[in-house]
Amino acid sequence: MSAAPQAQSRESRAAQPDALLAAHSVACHFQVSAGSRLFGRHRTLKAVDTVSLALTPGEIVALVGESGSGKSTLGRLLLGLAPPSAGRVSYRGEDITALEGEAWRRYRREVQVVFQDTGTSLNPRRAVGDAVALPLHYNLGLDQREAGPRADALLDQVGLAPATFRRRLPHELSGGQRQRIGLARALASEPRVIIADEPVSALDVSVRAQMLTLMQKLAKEQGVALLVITHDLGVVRAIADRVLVMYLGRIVEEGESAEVILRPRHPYTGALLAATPIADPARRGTRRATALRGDPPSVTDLPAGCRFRSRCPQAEALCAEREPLLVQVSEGSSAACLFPAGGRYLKRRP
Amino acid sequence: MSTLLEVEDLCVDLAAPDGTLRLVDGVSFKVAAGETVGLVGESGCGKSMTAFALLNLFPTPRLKASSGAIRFEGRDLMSLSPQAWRGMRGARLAMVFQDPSGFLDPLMPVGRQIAETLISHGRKRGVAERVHELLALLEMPDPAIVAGKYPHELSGGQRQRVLIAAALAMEPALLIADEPTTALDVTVQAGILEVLARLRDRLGLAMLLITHDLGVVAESCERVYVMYAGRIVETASATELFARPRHPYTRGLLKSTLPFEGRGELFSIPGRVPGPRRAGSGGPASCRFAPRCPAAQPDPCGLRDPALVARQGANEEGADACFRSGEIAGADIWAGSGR
Repeated sequence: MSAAPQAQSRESRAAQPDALLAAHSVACHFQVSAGSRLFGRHRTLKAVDTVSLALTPGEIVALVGESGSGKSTLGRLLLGLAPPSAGRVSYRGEDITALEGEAWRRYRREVQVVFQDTGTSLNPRRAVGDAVALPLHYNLGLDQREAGPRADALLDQVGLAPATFRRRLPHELSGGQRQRIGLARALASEPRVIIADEPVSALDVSVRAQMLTLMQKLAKEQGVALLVITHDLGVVRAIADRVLVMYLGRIVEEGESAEVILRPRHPYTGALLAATPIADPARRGTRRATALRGDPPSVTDLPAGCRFRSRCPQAEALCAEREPLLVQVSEGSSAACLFPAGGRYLKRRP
Repeated sequence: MSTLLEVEDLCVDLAAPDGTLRLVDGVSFKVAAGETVGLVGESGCGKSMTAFALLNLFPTPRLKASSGAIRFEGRDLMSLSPQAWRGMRGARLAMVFQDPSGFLDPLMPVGRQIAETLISHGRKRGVAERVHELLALLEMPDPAIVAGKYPHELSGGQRQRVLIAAALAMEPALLIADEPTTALDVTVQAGILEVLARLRDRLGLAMLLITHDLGVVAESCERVYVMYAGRIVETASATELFARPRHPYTRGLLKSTLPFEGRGELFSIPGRVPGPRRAGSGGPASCRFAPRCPAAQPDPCGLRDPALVARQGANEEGADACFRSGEIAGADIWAGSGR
């Protein structure tokens, strides 16, 4: 029950030989001052706190949690957009901070991102057809004559008719259409890894399935590794092979998505599932009342022991003393809880 | 239950440079006192335009409700004077929008913003107490402290609660909520939906919930209207609609929700919502859904626009606008398409 075998199992998972992109116990801390800049107390905000994960080719991993849980920051660490305060991120086995020259360019080309807010990540003065063609030019070295038809094919692939959309400016598109431009743009560089931050939350149900199907195809047919950051467990159920549940900077549950959704071990995962609406009025009122009350505590002011205990419906005295580690609780899942549902870590006392 | 709101044959037109476009085309619906009614459909179906028309609050003067009737508490809203509208909006009829931060002044404490509603409707005494009472009603901890905070100091869910509190300040009979929880986390969404349900029971508040999330509709609505391309294509009680959808569009929408258990097949309705039609271009020549419909036939779907016809037998409330809904009721029309 010590931390050693646990740390080992986590390390071994992150160190899978076929992992494309992996994070090894990464952390991302920010210094924030409370009150006056000069005299206020300085505090450390641990946005991401010792997280390990690995993405293998053809695998779709979902990262779920509420806003403020550190999901997007973890995505930024993996993309090399923010330096980790501790730990390291590796691509094809090499530390990304050590990459130089061609190796660095390859990492930047092969690891692409689809941002959540495409309203601000697209140049407002550039036609979206050109926005998609740019990476073809810079990353693949195609000239304008070759890039045009390729850009059209990419627009078509994401379900936007090239003839109609090629010349449009971002403000002339709906949020969902811009989101798809974001994906087309990421696909232009022929990536091996795509990190998609809330790729479908702005989309209508009918378009959402189209996008999810496209992502599934990318993974299964082209072996692209996908990390889908989302707060929608419906998306996880639909496409993810594996799911990581994040709460205040830590992974609190991890496992095969079917297993985690069917038998959530961590009370936080259970609460997220209970809060997801079901499209069936006959079952109204059958799901558990939402266990979660209020907002998560501030990341600068974490409670001692388990960080979920202030909102946990099952917290016990021991939870205030000991911080739970991520340990395997069943064949397909691990949870960071002293009293996981159906777990064999610690028997719940009567 | 008495009818609170009755909309009849409402049309909303947009004056575009090259002619007038009809965004909402002959929509009729009712909301009874204390009832929660859902209005669902994809983006661009005219849901929000319908809501704007109810409040006479269009984002641009080029939009206007061109014909039809809106009766609310026995008064004809279409013929109200601007003065009469000021007494109505925010007092008897209130609205909550999707993006809570866009509707709050960043430089004013939220308590004062709630108080503004009260003051502008002539309330002079006990304003602060009422603000605290409203925040408590929305289940905010420490109302007095929250009232003094600025919007940036609150979380998204708290901001949405503040907006709902402001909308409820004058105890309206009807709350129009346009995607009130779409931008929020599921946990926060569940909390807000629960509060709204409790308010409905406590205050007898009627609600028109506009959303594209069928899960939210199933959780909270008693009756549902499904909108497509500016028209209502189906209506029924929530239980009936989810159990036995009739219109191919409704059936497609339900099929494209992500399954709760297991990994079902991902489905999407092929094609897109058509652009709005020109106003007064003569009778529409075909069913608006025909281009995307697997059950469409040249005759009659390609010849006439179907009207909303009450279901025969079943329940007296349900109606759908499909020529073939009876014929195809048993068939799996969407099988094998739309992947």
